[in-house]
Amino acid sequence: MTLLKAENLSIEFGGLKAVQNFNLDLKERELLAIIGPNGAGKTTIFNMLTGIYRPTHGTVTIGDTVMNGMRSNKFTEHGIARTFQNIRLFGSVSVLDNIVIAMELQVKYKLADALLRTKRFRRQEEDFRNQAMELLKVFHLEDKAEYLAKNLPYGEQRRLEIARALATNPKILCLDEPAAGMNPSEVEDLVQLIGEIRKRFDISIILIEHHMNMVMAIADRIKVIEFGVTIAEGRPEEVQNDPKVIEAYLGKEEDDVC
Amino acid sequence: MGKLKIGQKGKKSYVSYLMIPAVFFGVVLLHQAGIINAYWYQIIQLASINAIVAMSLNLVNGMTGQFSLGQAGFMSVGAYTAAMMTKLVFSGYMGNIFATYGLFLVSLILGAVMAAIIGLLIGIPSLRLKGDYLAIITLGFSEIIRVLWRVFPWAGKAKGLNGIQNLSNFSIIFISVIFVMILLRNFTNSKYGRGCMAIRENELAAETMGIDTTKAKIKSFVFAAFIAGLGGGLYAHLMMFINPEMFNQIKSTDMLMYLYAGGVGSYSSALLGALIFTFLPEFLRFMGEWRLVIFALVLILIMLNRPKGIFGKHEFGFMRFGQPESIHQKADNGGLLSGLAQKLRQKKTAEKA
Repeated sequence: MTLLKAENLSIEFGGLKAVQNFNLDLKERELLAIIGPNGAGKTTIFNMLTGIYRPTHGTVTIGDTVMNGMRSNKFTEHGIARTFQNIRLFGSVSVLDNIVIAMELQVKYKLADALLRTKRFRRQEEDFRNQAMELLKVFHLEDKAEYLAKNLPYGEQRRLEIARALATNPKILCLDEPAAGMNPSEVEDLVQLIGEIRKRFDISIILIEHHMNMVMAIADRIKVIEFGVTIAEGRPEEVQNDPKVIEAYLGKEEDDVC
Repeated sequence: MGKLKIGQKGKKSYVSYLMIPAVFFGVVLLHQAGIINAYWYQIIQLASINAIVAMSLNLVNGMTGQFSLGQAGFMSVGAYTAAMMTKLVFSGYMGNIFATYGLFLVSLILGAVMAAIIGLLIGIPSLRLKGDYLAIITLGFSEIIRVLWRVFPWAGKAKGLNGIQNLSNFSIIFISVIFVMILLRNFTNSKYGRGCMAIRENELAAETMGIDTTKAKIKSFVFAAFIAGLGGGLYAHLMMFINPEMFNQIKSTDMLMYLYAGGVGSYSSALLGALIFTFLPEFLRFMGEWRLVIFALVLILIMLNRPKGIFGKHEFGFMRFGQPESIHQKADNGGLLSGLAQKLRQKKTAEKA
């Protein structure tokens, strides 16, 4: 079954056609990777899929809902969550509260419950904190629950961002270059973590990444973007040998070079 | 699943709960004993009202990270509404003490509700804007409100309203301060307050976490207007007369000053800032005209040394339900006082070594 569908997505900034006719069909529990050189429009695609940018043409459909014109909190409500290329945590807030903030959509109490601190309010709040702690355990951050997010080391900030996205209870998780700035052993840990996430949560993942080894190792399917246009799509081994992809990444072979 | 205890490594402390009756009875007894004279008693009440408005401003500026410059406008709505209620509508029914204070309470709440309604009307168009733009538009709206009071004949035009009954007294103002603190504490320690903080920290991320940022901002703005309106009602019945000039731009900037000098991001600091900086010019009165120079210098020195204010982000235990502050939070508070304490500690350890 299709979870997320993008049809003919295009966006223009002034005269620049950043993305043209992007199509996507995400299946349940699939891990789809989007790769491409810098400036190819990968993050722009994410921004359209999560409601931050409104596409000039085309539609995004989550489940049965056409999402055109909706704001990104509605996209989250329909089950899509994301991380950011440049980390966007709630810095001066504790690690635990970063997670609890992301549980916003599960809150059932009303303003009056909060002001009067009714039993309903206290029960739910306690529940959120426990859930958040459980989630932090999966990400090995439980010892740092009281740290302020901005004081965490870089790698842990990246992990916390993924944990926070999962706290919204999504069906689709979008990871925007989660391995950026990581050393090989950290990338190795991240690959394991993504494996763990797929095992524990019933979730589809869209991944933007530059680390080819990582993408080839974990992706079920790969889409290659260059200058806003999809140039190849398929299983990792298919894409790897596609001449267009090699050209995009390594440059064109000149015939008359001797 | 075992219960996870979070943030309870230290012991809960209820010292600040005991401070509430201690401060109350302390001030009342000192007044009875004649140590606090009528003049200072009035200043204490005025300072407490300023504290209410400064705390409301902290919800918008400190917690939600928006910059409102027009809190005096909402104060004036509360003041005029409540004053007209007690003066014109309810005055005939105020027979015994219960009716008097009961109707005063109703008037205060009506004033606050009216301020909240005006806050909603202003907030909906304004809160689409950010930063400087929001500051300018709130400033503009508060000026419009002030000019409207000058125009309406039933509000006394430029002369304002006089002959308002002196219904605010220390007990009522003190209870209001505590009531406002409880309201703000409960609001902030719920999804509503967390949403505000998420917007302050990173609005885009807040929205992708499913928070309707526009609604959350409007809620905090309206709630702050409600509390400022309550402060205005108390103010009118303390001063016994009001005119539009009492709620001009200087009043709004005073509130900002209390908040930022005390420590933005903390209700306790806003409260203490309002108290200290209402008292300070009075203490300096013996200097005549020089007091304003000294006062301004003190402010500049504080802001230069400690951009986070005197008390930083520290909150009273009362505002944290007696929960101890984590060491990470403490390190981030960064007020003038915690900075001094840190320096002292460093000196001591250096001496030992």
